[in-house]
Amino acid sequence: MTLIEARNLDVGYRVAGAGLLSAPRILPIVHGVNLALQPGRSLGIVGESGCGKSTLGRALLRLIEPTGGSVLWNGQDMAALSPAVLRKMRAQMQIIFQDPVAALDPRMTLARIISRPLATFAPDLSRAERLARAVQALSEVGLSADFAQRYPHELSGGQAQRVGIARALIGRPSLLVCDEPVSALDVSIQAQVINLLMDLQDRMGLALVFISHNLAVVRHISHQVMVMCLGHVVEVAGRDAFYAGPLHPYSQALMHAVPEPDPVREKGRRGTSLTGELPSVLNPPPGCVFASRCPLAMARCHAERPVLRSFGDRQAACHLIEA
Amino acid sequence: MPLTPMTADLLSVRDLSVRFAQPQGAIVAVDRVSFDLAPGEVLGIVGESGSGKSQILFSLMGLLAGNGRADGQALFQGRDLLAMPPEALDKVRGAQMSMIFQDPMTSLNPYMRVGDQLAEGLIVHKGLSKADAMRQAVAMLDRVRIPDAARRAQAYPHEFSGGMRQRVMIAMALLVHPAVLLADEPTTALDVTIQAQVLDLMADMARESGAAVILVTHDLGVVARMADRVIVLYGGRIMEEGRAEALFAAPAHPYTQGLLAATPRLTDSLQARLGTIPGSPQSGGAIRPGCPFAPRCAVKIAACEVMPPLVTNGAHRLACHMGAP
Repeated sequence: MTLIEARNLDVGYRVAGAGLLSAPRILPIVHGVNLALQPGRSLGIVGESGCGKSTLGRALLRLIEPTGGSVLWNGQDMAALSPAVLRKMRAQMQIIFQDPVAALDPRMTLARIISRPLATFAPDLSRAERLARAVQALSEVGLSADFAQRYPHELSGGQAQRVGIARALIGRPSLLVCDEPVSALDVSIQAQVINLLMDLQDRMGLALVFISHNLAVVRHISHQVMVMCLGHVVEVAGRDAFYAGPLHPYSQALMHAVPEPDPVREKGRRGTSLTGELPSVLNPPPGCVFASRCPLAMARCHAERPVLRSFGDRQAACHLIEA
Repeated sequence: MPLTPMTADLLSVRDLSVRFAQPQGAIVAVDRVSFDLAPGEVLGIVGESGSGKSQILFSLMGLLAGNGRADGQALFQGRDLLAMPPEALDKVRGAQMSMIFQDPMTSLNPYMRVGDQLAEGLIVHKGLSKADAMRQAVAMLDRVRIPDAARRAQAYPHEFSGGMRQRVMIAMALLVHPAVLLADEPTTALDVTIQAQVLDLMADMARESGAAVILVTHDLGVVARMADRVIVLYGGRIMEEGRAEALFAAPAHPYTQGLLAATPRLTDSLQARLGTIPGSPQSGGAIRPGCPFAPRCAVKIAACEVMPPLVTNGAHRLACHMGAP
């Protein structure tokens, strides 16, 4: 049974029109994304800033209204749900953010922050029951009960991210969207949070959508990897196949650019394999979105946008890949 | 400290401490740090937040915040940067020492055309005419692969992308042919492909100009690609130092070992879980008598309540009571 599925999902933002008096228009950010995630599995979404990965994550949860296509939750079209029903269902689909401190209200105790969603998801619970659930959520993320009465400013970044996860867990979700959850954390804390998310997944059967620009982090936590470039999915593959050798030239360039913590491999190695500049979202090229930077681009790449094709059990959108 | 300044070194830092006055007492950000930098060498300083790594660079450039004070000695070509009057320091920084910052947007003047900002350094420090300085500025922008450099020199910083702004910063820093380039997390705000371009450019330019580089970063991958020698900093103190290859191959300090185990990789055999260091990096505060890493250390012993000396063994230095393995 598929937990969440996106079909031809388009997402855009409303922006001012071209002229002073022109009507607002939709600036497309995410184009025709298809994905399916099973319970207890992790999908890593990687790409550079502005590729639309965070926008896609939010549209999956309907925090942003898609401009086209559909999102199915347990086979049910989310657009067909009334706002009241959708609110209740949000207990099952939660999100954590990049800046863990900014995501917490500085004037609330942690117990109140963590138990707040219960006002919507389980309004019949007594105050004592809500507190008990908050303390339980704290212990699930490795924080002791005495954190319940503390305030966000008393937390380190890693602790704040744990509180964000505890708040997400309180409604007992089956999907957690993680939007760059460890990018702002120190390396030693980043490892703690990644391990925690993997433990929670094992223990609770959580499905994870893990959005990150960090390919090494994504390798660690994902079963499936999706690469986005300027709003388009350019490659989807199983984790091991992807890291053994990505098919798309953009995925290859990303991988090539990453410096590994190994001087024997890295010293003097050049990470640049791309030339040219990133095209603007406002003025996307007619052909492949990667063509302006692709070292292998040919005339066809600039004229005709490649579609996602299957190669065995993986997919890539590139004219150059032979079946 | 057994180290004595060697004439071969371009920069010799001895017992550098940085303190910040606070209403509740002084915060010690850097605590008696000593190191040398040879001409043409790339020295990496790695550490987590609060390790004091950036404050080392700021103190060398005389850029500490108003409540900050640097003690100790930093001999640059035989003259102590920390004891220099401001006018003398002005002649050194921007001419013989330059710095690249993490966020190029906040270190470029938004009201000034990029070309004028680059030329200014040459006019002030090298006494060039406006026209000559502008010619060199445009040539340098071209060298850092800003497309259409002559036209782009007339643009303002906000008209550049993040990666291009960082390349402009590098151009500005290297235009005066400094002997030392200080880089504070120069690629942290950039995407990985742009980071690769900036690192390649820094390596090329440093090699061509012969500048020595101190590269401060939290990213062990960046250090692995760039640095000849690495200092691992924690709680304002040097935990370990060594040649990059040797340090990564056989880290001796429990903190270095922990950092390497906690870093996810692209190429290793995947483990079920990453290695972790319990607790959080300490940030600021009064100075502890013992090893700053002891509260998080898995192998600490009673002796760790006293700070271990930094023991030199060939090219390797280690501050740990547990000694070399």
